Amino acid sequence: MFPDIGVTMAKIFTRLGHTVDFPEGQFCCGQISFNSGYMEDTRTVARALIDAFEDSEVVVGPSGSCIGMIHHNYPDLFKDDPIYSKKAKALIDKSYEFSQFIVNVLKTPDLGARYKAKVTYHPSCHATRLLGLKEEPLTLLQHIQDLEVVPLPEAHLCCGFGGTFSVKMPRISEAMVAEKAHHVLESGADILTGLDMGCLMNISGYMEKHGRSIPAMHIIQLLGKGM
Amino acid sequence: MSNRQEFIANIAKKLGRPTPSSVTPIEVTYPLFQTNSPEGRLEGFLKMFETMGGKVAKAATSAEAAEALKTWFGEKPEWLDANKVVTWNELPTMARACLEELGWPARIYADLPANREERYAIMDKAELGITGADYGIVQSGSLVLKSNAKRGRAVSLVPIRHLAFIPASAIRDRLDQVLAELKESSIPAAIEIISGPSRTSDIEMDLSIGVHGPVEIYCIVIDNQ
Amino acid sequence: MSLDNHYDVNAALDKALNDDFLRKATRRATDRLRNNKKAITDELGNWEEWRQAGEKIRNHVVLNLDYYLDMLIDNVEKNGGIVHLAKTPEEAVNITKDIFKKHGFKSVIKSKSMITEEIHLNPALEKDGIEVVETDLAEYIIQIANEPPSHIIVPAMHKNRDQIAKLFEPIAGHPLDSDTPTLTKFAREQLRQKFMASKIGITGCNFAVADTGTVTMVTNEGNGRMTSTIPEVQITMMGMERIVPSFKELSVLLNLLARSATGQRLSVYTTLTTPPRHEEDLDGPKEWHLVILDHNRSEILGDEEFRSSLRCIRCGACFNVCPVYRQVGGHAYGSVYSGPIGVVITPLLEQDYEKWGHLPYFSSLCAACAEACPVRIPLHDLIVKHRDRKVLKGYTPNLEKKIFKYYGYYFSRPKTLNKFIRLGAKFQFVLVRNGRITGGPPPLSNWTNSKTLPMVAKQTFRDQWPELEKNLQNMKRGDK
Repeated sequence: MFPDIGVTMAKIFTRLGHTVDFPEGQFCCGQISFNSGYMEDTRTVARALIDAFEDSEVVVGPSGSCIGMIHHNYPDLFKDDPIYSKKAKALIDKSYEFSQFIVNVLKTPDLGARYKAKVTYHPSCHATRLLGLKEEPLTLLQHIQDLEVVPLPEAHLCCGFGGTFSVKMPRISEAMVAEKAHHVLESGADILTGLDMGCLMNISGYMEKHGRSIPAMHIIQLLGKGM
Repeated sequence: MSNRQEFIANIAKKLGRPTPSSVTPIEVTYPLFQTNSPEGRLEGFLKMFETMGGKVAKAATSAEAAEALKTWFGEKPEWLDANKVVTWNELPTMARACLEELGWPARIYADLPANREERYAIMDKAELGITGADYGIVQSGSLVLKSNAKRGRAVSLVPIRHLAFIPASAIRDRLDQVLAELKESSIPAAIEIISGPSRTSDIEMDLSIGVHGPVEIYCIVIDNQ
Repeated sequence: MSLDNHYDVNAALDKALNDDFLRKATRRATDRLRNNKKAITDELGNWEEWRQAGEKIRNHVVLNLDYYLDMLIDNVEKNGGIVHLAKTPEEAVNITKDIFKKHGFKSVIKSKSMITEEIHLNPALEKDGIEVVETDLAEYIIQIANEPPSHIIVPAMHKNRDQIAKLFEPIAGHPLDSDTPTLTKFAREQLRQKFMASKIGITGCNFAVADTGTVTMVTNEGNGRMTSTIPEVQITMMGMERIVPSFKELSVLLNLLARSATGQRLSVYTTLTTPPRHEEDLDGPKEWHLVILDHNRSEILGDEEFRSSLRCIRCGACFNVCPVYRQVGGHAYGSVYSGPIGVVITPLLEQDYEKWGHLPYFSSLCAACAEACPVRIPLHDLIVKHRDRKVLKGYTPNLEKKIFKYYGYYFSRPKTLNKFIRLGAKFQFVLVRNGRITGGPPPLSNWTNSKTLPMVAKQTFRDQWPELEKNLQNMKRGDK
């Protein structure tokens, strides 16, 4: 739904002097079925992903949730499969979420972007809690010139997306996203940003339906606008 | 097999091994709170005791202790009569001397009627319970009281106010130090670790002091070394 | 364990989500407890090291539970206590009833105990004509209201002061002001009489110390102390996993418990009793019964995937960070234990996915619970494992099974899937209003009822890639 994120990411890495590839076989980390408890179907999807990246040197993904799934859940998912548990380990060792890779590995948080806007950052649960990415995305934002970052009240709260949770338990999910949307408006920001399109789509989708929407942009989309 | 053997054997089965005859104790490490000097420890305790909602004073003599009590309760508290102050049998010398100095009548818990209904009826109306304390804890502002026949447990619990006398030398930084020392002698039927007055936030998270235990708690730190 | 026999998840959610007071009260309580915890754990220095210590201790106990339980029983008996081992809630209830019968007691004071809620002790005793008096203020309130606890630490947080005043008035026999001091004072006076007249008390147990036979109870009000001081007979109820090896480990767990539960350095009263009372002691029980309950805890122990849930010290910290609990409160779960830990342990204690299969979906898997847990139980992972178990045991709907079968098939075949996405992009116009997807058939409608969706891009990244790859190569060459 958001091909521009991939395009911008590819351009950033190319500009930094790296060769970008998009292995054909990749599609999904399997989180959707994993979170619903369908482990066999998850393994089918995850194996395809693992195989697709077998020859890649480094794998960078624009989603804290997907990379979190690989890092946090693949070991358990393949614990009875000696071949794929080894392959999964190799993928874990070389895979990073975008802000994690730029800030911690490449150590080039200043990508030369300039963008005038007031943004608030939603720390998505899996990026924050499964990958421990608390400072990295903020570091990236701080290096975008002219960008003002305002705090999001009660930022720690889940937005209610939770993958299939939003469809399986729509009423609770709606109550959660309603509160999140309230806090987003309260922040006074013009743009909502984050590391996961799932969450951003959930929050902005709710705000849009209720007539009080502000644009929701992935950090990479912000960078893309400013470069 | 007895019920007990069966119960234990079932757990062993679930753990997939026979019950071990000995187990190597676990070692854990964690950051420890520490004060740097006896003075620091005393000051820390005074501060934390008040933070927990108690009132505390240092006293080198029984006269100083009596002054503190007068400040807290008045020269002659209006609630004072023959049955309103109940004390442990075992009290630090200063505590007894202080009461004598004040001329306040006090009952000794063990001397109350042996009939429990009568005894608790008196306790229920008592205004001040006076005890010693075996330890104080800086980190949590707590008093630690061991029970025995001469140290009735109700004295620190049932009256509206609880006052404890504690030697400054009995103050420790942390709970683990206190528990380690307690382990060195035989364990009494009750060890009460008291940190502030009885309280609740059960109604709309609104803090309310004095539910079932004492509404007020006081401490005299005996500092005469 | 259900509140009533007619629990229906949708009705329960309806009720909860439409109860504005409940939702506000839940937020207020959990925000307060969470913020208190934050301040008081920061003060400890490295909280993570404390959590690791807690995890290590609890793991050690769980893995050697038979050894420590045996030691505990030995020491309690050596001290003169009477140990009862109950495999099931029914056994625990019957043991208790027998003690009442033996003495002919017709009234009992109780301090807060989740185990007695778990085994439904109160209604069973009341059936025998025994008056049960809950003495924790919150438990007293919900007992009068005839409701189960909505939080394991603050059980009556769903009640406001006016409702509480109304509950107290028939007992008082006159109108009551609804300010907190008045209500608290009223409860103090009522319960004072009960305490002073009590002959038997029932308490819970936060930790039992194996090498001394000591039971620990923490309370703030003092009701736990009253219940273990005044009556001459005392019954302590504990889940069989609530053991620590010695005082050394106890000090770590007491710190973790008080700080995690209410954000206190220690609870006001941390009571270490090693009953019965000694010869010549004037207070404390002369006769002491320790009832140790299994209730499928041994099944959990034998289930390696869920064993870590036995580490729980019932602090409630996971409730206070849970965004689901925050929205719906405790009663909507339908179980005695709610919140993330309730979601995990209820289906295990009851060994029943038929009745409790809804619980594992009371989570968005945000992992805040696991992050808050002072003994590092991976709660969100265990919630996924329940969903996994349900799938393996065939407890999930057929349509769902089919959807994930297709998902597995197509999402591992990106080329085929890409064709479908192109098709979707072409035909999505039927669902689109003003550039957003605004409706659709179920399960999509579960989303679009409250939210819109962005449109599927005209060209997927995959379709754009060949062109983009060329551009990137040019970019690299020209370094622009």
